[in-house]
Amino acid sequence: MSAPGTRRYICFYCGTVYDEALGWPDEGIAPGTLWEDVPDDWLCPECAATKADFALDEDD
Amino acid sequence: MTALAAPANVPPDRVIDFDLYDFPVEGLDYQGSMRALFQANPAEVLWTPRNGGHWIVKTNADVAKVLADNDHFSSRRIMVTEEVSDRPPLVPLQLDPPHHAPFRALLQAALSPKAVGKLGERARELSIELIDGFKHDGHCEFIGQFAQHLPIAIFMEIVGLPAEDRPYLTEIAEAAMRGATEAERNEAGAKLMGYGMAKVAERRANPGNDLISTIVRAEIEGKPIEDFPLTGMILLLLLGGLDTVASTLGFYAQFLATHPEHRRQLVENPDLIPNANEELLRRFPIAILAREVKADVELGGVTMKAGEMVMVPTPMDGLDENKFADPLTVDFARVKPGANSTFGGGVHRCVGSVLARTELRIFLEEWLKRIPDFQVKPGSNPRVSARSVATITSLELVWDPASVK
Repeated sequence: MSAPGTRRYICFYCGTVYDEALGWPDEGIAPGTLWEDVPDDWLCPECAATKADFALDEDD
Repeated sequence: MTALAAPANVPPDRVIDFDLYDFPVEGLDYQGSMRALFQANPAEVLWTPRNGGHWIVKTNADVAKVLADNDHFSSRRIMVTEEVSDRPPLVPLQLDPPHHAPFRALLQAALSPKAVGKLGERARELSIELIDGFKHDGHCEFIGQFAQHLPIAIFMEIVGLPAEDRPYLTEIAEAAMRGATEAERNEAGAKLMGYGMAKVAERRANPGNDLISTIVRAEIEGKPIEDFPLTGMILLLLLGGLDTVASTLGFYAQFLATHPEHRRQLVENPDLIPNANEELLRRFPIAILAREVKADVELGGVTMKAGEMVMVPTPMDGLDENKFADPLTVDFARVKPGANSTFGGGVHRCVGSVLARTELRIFLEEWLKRIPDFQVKPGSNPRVSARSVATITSLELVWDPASVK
């Protein structure tokens, strides 16, 4: 399994990937932000699913 | 109906007397008409005496807040109504977290992107078969011949129901959702439940690989699901699976039939279709959700009291100009149109949305390849019918048979 800081989380609904290394700067989430530090009310930027709808990419 | 007096916590400037389950629709633009109604009443949160008296939120921010805040808003009641229904709660939709989670996990597994990948191929085959069946006729009644056929046939394959039951189920789902009276809706709901429970009994005796068999065999906290929540689960599947994509397809088709320039864009550049699908979902949501206030809460400058109901019209998220510029305009190049509440939000976001998106995209791909030009039949008078879910009841389309591919 990937180490913290390099993990990727995938939106169940639309497949959007949150990559810890990249963060989501457009939404104020800096590169390197760990998944657990992403705010709980953050929504998928593509489809508005909740953070809880993202799952760790086990293939990494 | 005698109008209810507003409770003391409702400021007089928030009171408006309209029934969002039954308001005048301009042409077929249900969503635009709803937005116009709200624009005429600028307060952020409104209260109406109709349907037992309830709040209405109408901005993208408030829609999102109500759907995300499980501490203050419950989905125990999902319709505003004066009358009490004896239907079992729809499971997991009408269970609050954390109780909803194990039930939802069962449905989520069956409707995951991986599972839907296979179903999508089946949906494509069926779409092609249906369109090829009538394309040379130069006309079709879109709702009956396509919109109620494709998603419902796929749904029936998921739950393992016989294809010949489709007309019966479509008819009672229509009556359960949009019957003229509460009694009619309850009677149809009871028929749907009876049908579902008969299938449960069959699958208990003779399990298969379908979703009803999976649910019947499933254990939650080490025990099989009891009949009452099981009935609610099957009813939710039937109502969700039989009505929603069919209704959305009607709005897609009427838009494309009346907007040749948009059709042309997709015909000439099919790569636009995935984003166009999201844009059409943003522009044409069909559902009005509702929540019960669990604990007193401030929202939009008012205090909502525990026990009161809040109506959450999903179109008002995608059609809020503070979130999407020029929201009534369909722009297939719009950036991230998919971040909307068309599928609801929070822990009860539509579990079937992966399948719904797939079917809608396949419709756009396969229909426009074969019937690139079509219009609403002149002289026909299509209408919107709505309560908590809006639909177009009949949509006659015509095209030049020589133009089909």
